[in-house]
Amino acid sequence: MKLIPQKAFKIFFETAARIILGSVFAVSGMIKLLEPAANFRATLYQYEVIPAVLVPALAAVLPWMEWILGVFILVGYALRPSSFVLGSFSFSLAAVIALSGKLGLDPSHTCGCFGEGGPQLSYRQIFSLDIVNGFFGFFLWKFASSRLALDRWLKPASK
Amino acid sequence: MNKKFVFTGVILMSVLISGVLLAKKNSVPESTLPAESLGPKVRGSAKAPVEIIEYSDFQCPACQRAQKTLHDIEARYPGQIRLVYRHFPLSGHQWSGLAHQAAECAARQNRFWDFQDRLFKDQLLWSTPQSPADAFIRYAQELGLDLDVFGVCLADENVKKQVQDEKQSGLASKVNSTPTFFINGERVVGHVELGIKGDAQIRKILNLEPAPVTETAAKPA
Repeated sequence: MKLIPQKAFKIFFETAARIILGSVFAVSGMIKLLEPAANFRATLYQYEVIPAVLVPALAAVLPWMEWILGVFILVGYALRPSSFVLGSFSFSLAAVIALSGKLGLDPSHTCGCFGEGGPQLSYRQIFSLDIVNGFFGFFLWKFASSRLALDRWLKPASK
Repeated sequence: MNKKFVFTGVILMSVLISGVLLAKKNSVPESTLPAESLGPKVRGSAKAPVEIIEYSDFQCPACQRAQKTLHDIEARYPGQIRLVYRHFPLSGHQWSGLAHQAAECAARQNRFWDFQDRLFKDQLLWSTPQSPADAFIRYAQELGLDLDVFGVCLADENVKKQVQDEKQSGLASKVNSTPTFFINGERVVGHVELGIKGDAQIRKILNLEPAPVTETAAKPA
């Protein structure tokens, strides 16, 4: 009797985690890719703990990674590795934000750096979102089944 | 790894990459020359070979930091730079709209640059929960502006509209953060990139040798 609600909860939580984590990264990556690349470079320069010399390469690679792995999670392709990468990335972002704050980066640095048309998130809100995404990513990496996922169709023998 | 898995991955990646590239083709290009200047906020010779269009917000700390870099650039290339200012008050900043309106009123009395210098210099003083209207009137007075004209201008809806029109011209060019610059049409975003890429871009336009690394690799202020 007890197992049924637990299983239902796991299915619900896993599906919600996939939708939230996948959508956040797919949309965020897509927006960055459609914006001029200089806008995202400027955002990365704001995090003064990232070495300036790495910024152009990171600004070129990260939006593609977010877009592609975000969609992979939504459709359930390479679900566990994709979740691990985006989960780790989320925790890394949270660490960069925390470190920037510790180094005295002015939290009032809200210069529309996350898009004038988009949500005006404070550093604290972005930090919280990254932590939640990090947990979703690690949960999916450890416990995701291949329910409603391409993985089930592609690797039937292993499941 | 099974072939079906790899093949599906290749197909998926191709669809995702080509979808973005197609969408990007129809969006605003990286290099865009925004519409002609909408107000009398130009500094430097009309014949200068380098035109820098600046979209900035008076309540934005990064825009304040960019002022030193801009002054350095103008000093480094005398007579070669024309700076055009465009309003871009960010919606997240409580007093930006009023500050830009006040600066536009100063522009109408030909004192825009002095007024903007004062706004940036005292940014922390007037960025408080209380309305900075009195501070702006004081700045106008100290600059010798006609206060009656300034007061009427501050309440003028057309001035407010002009500020928003300039912001719209930026939004149309995909400006979404401040400061954003267009150096002869080439987009440069943020005060850090202005010090690095901006200087290199200007030297290229002026057919100068690239500057030594120590000179151009500006660290964040």
